[in-house]
Amino acid sequence: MPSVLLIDVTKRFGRIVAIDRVTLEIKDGEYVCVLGPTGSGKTTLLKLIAGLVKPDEGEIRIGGKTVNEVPPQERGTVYVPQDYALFPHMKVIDNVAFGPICRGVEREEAYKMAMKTLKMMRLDWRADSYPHELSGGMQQRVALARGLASGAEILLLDEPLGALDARLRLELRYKLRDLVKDLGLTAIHVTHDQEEAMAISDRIIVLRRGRIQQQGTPFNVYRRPSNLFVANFIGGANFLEGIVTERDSKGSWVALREGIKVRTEDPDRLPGESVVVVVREEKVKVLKDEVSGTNLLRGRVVSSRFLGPFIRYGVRLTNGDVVRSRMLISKQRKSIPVDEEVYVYFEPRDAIVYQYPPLGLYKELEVI
Amino acid sequence: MALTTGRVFKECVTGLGRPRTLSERLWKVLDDLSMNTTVKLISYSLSVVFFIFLILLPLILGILLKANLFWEIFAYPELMNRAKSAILWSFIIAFTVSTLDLIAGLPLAWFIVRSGSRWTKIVDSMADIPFIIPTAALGYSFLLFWSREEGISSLFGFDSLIPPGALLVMLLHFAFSFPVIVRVMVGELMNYREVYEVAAGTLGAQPFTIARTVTLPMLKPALVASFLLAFARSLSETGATVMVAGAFENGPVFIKNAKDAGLESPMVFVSSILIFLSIAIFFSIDIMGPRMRLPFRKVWPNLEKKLSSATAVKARNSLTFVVFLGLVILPSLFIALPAVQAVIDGTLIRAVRGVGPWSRFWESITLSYAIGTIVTVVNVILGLPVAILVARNKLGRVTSVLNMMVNIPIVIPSVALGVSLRIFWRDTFALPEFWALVLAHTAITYTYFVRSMSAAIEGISQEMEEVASTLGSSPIAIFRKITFPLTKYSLFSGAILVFTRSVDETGATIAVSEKLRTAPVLLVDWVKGTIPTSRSDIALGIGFLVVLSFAVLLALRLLIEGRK
Amino acid sequence: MEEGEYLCIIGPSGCGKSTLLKCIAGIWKPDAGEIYIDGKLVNDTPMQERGIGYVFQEIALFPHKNVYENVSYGPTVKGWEVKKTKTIVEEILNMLKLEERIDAYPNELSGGAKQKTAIGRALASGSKLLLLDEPLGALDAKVREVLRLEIRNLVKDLGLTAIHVTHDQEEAMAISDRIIVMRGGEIVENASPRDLYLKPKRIFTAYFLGETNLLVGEVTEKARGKSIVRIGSNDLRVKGKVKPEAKRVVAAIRPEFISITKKPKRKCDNRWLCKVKSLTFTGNIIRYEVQTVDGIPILIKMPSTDEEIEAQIGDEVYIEFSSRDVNLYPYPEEGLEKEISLE
Repeated sequence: MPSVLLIDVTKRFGRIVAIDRVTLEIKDGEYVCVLGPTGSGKTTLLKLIAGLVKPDEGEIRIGGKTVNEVPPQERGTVYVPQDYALFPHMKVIDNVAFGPICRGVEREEAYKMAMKTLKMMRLDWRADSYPHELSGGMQQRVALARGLASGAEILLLDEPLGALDARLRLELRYKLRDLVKDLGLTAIHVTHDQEEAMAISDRIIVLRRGRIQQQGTPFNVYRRPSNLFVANFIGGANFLEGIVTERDSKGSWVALREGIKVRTEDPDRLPGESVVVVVREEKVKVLKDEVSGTNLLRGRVVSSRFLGPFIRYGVRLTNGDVVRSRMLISKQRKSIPVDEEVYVYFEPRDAIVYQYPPLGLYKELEVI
Repeated sequence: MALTTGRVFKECVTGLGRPRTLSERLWKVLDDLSMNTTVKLISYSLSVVFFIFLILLPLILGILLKANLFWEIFAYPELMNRAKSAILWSFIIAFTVSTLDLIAGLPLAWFIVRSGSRWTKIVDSMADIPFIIPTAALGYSFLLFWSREEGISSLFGFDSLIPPGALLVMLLHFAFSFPVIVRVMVGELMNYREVYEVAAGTLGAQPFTIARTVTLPMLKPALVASFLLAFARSLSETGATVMVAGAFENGPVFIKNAKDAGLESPMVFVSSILIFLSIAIFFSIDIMGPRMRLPFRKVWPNLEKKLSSATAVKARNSLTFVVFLGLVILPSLFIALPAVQAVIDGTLIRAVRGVGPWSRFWESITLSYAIGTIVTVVNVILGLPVAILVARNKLGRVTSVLNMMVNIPIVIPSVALGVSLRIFWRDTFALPEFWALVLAHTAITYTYFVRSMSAAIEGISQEMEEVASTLGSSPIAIFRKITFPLTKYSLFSGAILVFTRSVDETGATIAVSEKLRTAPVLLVDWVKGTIPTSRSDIALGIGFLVVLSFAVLLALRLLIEGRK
Repeated sequence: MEEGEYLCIIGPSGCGKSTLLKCIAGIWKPDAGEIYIDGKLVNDTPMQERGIGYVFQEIALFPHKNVYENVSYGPTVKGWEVKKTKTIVEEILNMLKLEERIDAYPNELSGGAKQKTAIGRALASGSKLLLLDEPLGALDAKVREVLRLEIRNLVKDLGLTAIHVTHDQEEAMAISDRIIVMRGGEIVENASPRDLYLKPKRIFTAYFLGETNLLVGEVTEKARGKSIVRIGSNDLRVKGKVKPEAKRVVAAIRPEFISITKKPKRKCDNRWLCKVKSLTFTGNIIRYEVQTVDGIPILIKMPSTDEEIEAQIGDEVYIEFSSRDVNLYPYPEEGLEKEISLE
């Protein structure tokens, strides 16, 4: 079974540690997204699995077999780089048949297989074109077809949608997932787009500076981010600095700047501790009228932008902190204009509390 | 869905994957071999060993073996003075000529890449003329043009407008180094991303300002490289310089004269100084060059706007063309006149019959081409792995050392290199003259091939090779199916470059040879009058050399295009 | 286009949006037509003298100059006094919060900082018109989100006029006052983000700007301010005007205006029985793909709540949506595929 296992893998380039003691397992048939900012080591991770770079430390296993010394040709993985690297001097069909031919399939049979794969990608009508004659979306499909035809069961996709238009990206990401699932393949997909990662993966691995920050289902990573970086990188959130003032059996009170108190359901932090309260933007409601509730804060709208499915507000609280909110357009048809006095509201259970980071909040959230 | 998933695929492979024809079986064996790390290691090591032990070490060691002769010359002050001034002149000429070439060549390169004029293609190929014509032919052409009565001298009422000597040497060197600068800068300007110029333009910078503050500073590495190439070419050239030098001596001419006179010590002395000085200068410019800043950081908007105006550009282009046509193209092509005359006046018949000096001529041509062919094959086979090592940075930090060492044969004046190799191969190992010549030519052309090949390989994305390997392609198959098809034009043009360099070579050949004469060396003898010949003989001999070179180039090109 | 406006040009790649921008900047010359800046015809004015700031997708900072030298390039080549240049450049760098990176070379900066420097460079020579060609295209999604706000604020604070080209519809809506939708070299529509999203005049706009359900049906009944469209075996009630002559129509409904329920409670003018085909969690939204009894696929986006997800794959559910959230279009003459094609 083609499962992938990395045990304590480290890779250095000179003084830079690209991958730092990474341990992870990817099961047969799983669609995993590796998510992280530029320079977080995502591509290196893929190349390590493909055998294109060798780990300095640690062990890589594919299908239960240690493959540290196995060359890329024999790992059963296929690497699809960001710019696809289609062979420019070969026609589409030759590109796709390249894999089978290299593996010793007879010519005729190889071309039959290539044609079949192209048909599946609905590209058989372009078989005799050269790559540069195709649109970005088609090139991406050819790259996938080439990978699939080689018989690899593990797809290593490096930003497979990165070179495409936003609109096309939206459509193709679901098609990509369906294809992988229909064929029963394993896919490791690298991206910096959290929305893409959440939409298509079974599991997300968040990478930063070569280290895994968190791994889990999109639901878990989104709902229970393990640290402030993940909370910021995945989805929009507010970060409010404060100090825990009281703790009881059901949660705690946190005093923000200038004594604004918010209620959380966090039971762990002790009174006196510096903390950061994280509230997702879509959990914050902006209301014109006062309602009853615990975390009801007064403020003034400083920005109000229509973003399609939702409206994004910035509200300056009385202490100067700006809270951002995303209100679904289906729930609030009319935007509240700038400068209006409003209330912001969020539920105590939607406030996640983290210890104040030793290097400061800004450093912790930095997308590097 | 019945699809080509891995499982289905594996059945296909086990059932059908049997190579049938002989060539398929052969490739299979090679594929398997290239997957083997030991085999890979051995083939790469062999190529590096070849480079170090057959090219690099002999040319350094040769001169050191006769180090004892170095001091003898000190006993003869007169010889010593001649040697010193010859060395000094070599560097003065190389430096002046390369600087002037840069000043004159840059506007021409700019015109070729940027003007969008319909003449660019013609100008572009014209700029290559002094590069394609063997330097020995250029030398004679320049001699006729500037200093014989059949040239332009009579137009001005002189017997000899510019008599053989330092000035004529400079004019000659200016012409044959010129295409080097133009070639390199045209290539660089083509690859240059114009977005930077557009960015500067939208910020209000005038074209002249953009060139001065953005484009040229960004192309500085190329400027330095092209300067060094022109410098090395001027320092090396021997055959043509001998023809036009008269009584004047620079390094190579001095070495040739010393060799003809049988003076070994001065030969060793000048050679070793040239070798070590040129290596030192070359590497210090290579290291210091990129750190130099262009002068004038201030901007004068009004002045520069005037300099960017259509009139100013026209004036600049006209001046460039006057220099280009008058100093480079006309004198280079002048040889065509007497060559055509020779066809008519019956020299052609004598030549074909092999009468008089012509019997030796055909021998020399054969020798030149035999050496050229062997040298090309050897360089392609043994240079390619080194080019891959350099381009793909396979050796980590050692790569940059190897990269620098590959440059050494081109840096050293070829006649000095020849002296060193002669001592090493002939005097020490008593290698037959023919094979010593082959090794000398291999050394001289090695850099050209490795450089052009490694640049071509660097130009194709490594990711393509990586993908191919995850698709199951063995290293040799990757080269055969991906790297080679994408770089084959560079490979062939590299090979052609090696071949023509070898056929044209005079410096090292003069130093190494005793009885054998390659075609250009024979022509030098004809011009210097050591063998009695007529002007028509010489012109026709040169004509043959040029025409044959073109024929070989054309045949190779047709061959490549036929395969496509 | 007005002074002080932030305009976005959006469209699929190859629609001509960059070409339009380059014509305004004077990088390319139009074959026909006239371009006016500030009321002056500029067709023959070279780019050096149009007084525009241009920001490139490739960023194109001069690699051999540091941040300060890059930003001061414009003033320098225009021959401004050294002192004046210094004041202006420092002011801009402060505004962009780049004052600490003044000596850094482009290769030492992060993607976001590089693009900020490039914007600073475009502004330093005092241009009031800023042209941005996919300025965020080369950056990470997260960086993009933050920087787009900063750019808008900067443009508004300095009272500049901006034309911004992008293929990202969310970016366009977030940043602009007005959006021009382009396709195949032509302008499809031109309106505020809200109008464009909620009441698009063309099917292509509805399709290109975020996801939408496009349902083809026939008008069966027309009453005052309300019509009924037959889609498969369901009736679709629509508020508002339909072109009277159109019989065959396309109905566009945004997925976020549709909700799913198992036990219908409240009154709703459109309620169809459907089967859940798939559901995907995407953070603040859950995406359902359902099928009507006729097998017509419908996409739905519901806010994700903490409660266990109610519907599972294979469940029968009711989908509900309001008649006023449906936009109706006559069926395009060249077919629906052609109307929404990206080329």
